[in-house]
Amino acid sequence: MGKQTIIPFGPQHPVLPEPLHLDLVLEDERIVDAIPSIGYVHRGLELLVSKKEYAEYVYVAERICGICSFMHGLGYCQAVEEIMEIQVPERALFLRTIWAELSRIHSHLMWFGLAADAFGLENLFMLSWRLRESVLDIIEETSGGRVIFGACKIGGVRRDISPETLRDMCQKLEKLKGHMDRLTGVFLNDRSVGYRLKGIGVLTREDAQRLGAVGPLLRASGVDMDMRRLGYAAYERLSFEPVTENDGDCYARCAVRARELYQSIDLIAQAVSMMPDGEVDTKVLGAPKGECFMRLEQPRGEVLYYVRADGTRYIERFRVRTPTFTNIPSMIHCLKGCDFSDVPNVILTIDPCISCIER
Amino acid sequence: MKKFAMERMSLNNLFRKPSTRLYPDAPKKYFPNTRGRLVFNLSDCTFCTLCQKKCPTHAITVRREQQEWELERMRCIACGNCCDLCRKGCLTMKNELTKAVILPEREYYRREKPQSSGEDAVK
Amino acid sequence: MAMEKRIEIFILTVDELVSRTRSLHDEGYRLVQICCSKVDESGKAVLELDYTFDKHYNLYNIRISIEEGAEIPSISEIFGSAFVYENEIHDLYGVSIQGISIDYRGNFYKTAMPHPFTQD
Ligand code: SF4
Ligand code: SF4
Repeated sequence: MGKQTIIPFGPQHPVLPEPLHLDLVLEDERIVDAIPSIGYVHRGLELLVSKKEYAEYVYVAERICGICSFMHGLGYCQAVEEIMEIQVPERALFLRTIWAELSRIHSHLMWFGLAADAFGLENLFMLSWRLRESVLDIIEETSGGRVIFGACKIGGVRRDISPETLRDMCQKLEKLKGHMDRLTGVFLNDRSVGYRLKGIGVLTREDAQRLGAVGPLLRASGVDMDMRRLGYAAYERLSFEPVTENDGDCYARCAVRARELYQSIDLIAQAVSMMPDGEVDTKVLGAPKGECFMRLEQPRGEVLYYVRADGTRYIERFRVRTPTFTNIPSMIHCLKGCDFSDVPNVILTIDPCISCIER
Repeated sequence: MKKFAMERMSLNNLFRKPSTRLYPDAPKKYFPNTRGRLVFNLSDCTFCTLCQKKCPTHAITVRREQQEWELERMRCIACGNCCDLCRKGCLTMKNELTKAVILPEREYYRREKPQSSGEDAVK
Repeated sequence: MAMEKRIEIFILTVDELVSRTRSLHDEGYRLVQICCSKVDESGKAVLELDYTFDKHYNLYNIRISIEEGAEIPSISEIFGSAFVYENEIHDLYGVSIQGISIDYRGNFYKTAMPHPFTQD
């Protein structure tokens, strides 16, 4: 048994531009333990809820995280709507679904870039971010913001998308598929990428369930769990099967995300073809009273919102349990036993989003 | 399945046009919907303070007695909430971002003579 | 809309927590989260801990109420993933939790002041 060394990793680190700090306990080149600590950028957004009116907090909720911004807004709105028993118009539900899937595509493309960066392929990083840029353009065209959509509000959505734009969007996404083929082709078939991903950071099915993993991390270990099955927004009427892989290593997580890209495009096409006409928002009167848990499937996995309101215009308690937070135990588990040089890879395949943790 | 995926991609990239723009010469095109920056039109404003109450970041201050409207530009998150709410339609979102220059931190608009056609007096 | 219904919360005492959690674990439930909130109950600050479990997309909630600074047992022996939540609650609310499987002893959240969520 070698001597144990502790190497600090982060919060400022070249491969992980996220303020997560890990103390890695090494024995020679092998990790034996990892001790995380967070809180470097804690913003207290959960406490801010009691200082903003409930309808305005949507804009704050969207800013919890830049990548899943729409999802955070959506989750908050859904929770308040559930408490106030607001019936959201059909068209708004479909629009929400489309935006949610667009943010999934852009998040996964971004992840591909960061993962490529983590194992040192700048070229691939640029390529996937270029594709992401075209998705961001679609988002900007439809919602008005590149990353902060500002599209969701309590009772519906803030703007409609015209049928022509929807058609255009579908064509653009269809074209994007060709580019994605090339991108995911490299990730899934290239030999040198395979060396960095295959068999690294294995999370077995049992471990994943025991450690409470969610999202692509869990699905890569062969568990079929996807919160979109709950049927929020318009998912109830769309047909899809959760993407699963069985190996549970970094490569499987990569493959899950690659296939989810196509699934999202397909879901958008379905939603566009089924889009009903009509209003996009309802008038909201009164104030919420009650409490509610709301769960959504973010690009990174299951997120849970808890809202407790006491009938005033200010909400009493708002809690977000983000997917990355739940994935920390799995991340620590995967890190144990892997090489020091694989640390960035393993951390990135979990797709950590520290700003989500640090509400 | 596909052999040499990476090599092919790298070769392709050698011979294709660059995907980037030469930025200051070829500026970004904004979409009509883009939420860029808030524009205030003094002439219609009734100083009702609605926008001040509903701004999530408290970027707007309205002083009714002095007929003054003030925006703290760096606080504004361009959410567009005030534009939706203003009954007079004097707040709009321009689809263009603020240029990267140093601006005065606060923008004052004051109506000099009450109910005149509204000359902007920027302090 | 097939959304989650208005929530049902089972209110338990601190002593019942571990046994109920164990039986839920044996039934195949998964721990979704532990949430702590500070509520005012007739002028006295009370911490409410909500334990959320899920099985086949159905939620099961347990709530326990404790006073500030009270001690509660850990459930991380039963659900391996509970230690992050318990460390979080300890660091942000100052609840001392006995027997966390991986206890960071207040070093998980690096905050400028201890237990920021209990301050007003
Ligand atoms: S809401 Fe419109 S009219 Fe009222 S103070 Fe603001 S800008 Fe002026
Ligand atoms: S756009 Fe939003 S943040 Fe900016 S002034 Fe208007 S309401 Fe406030």
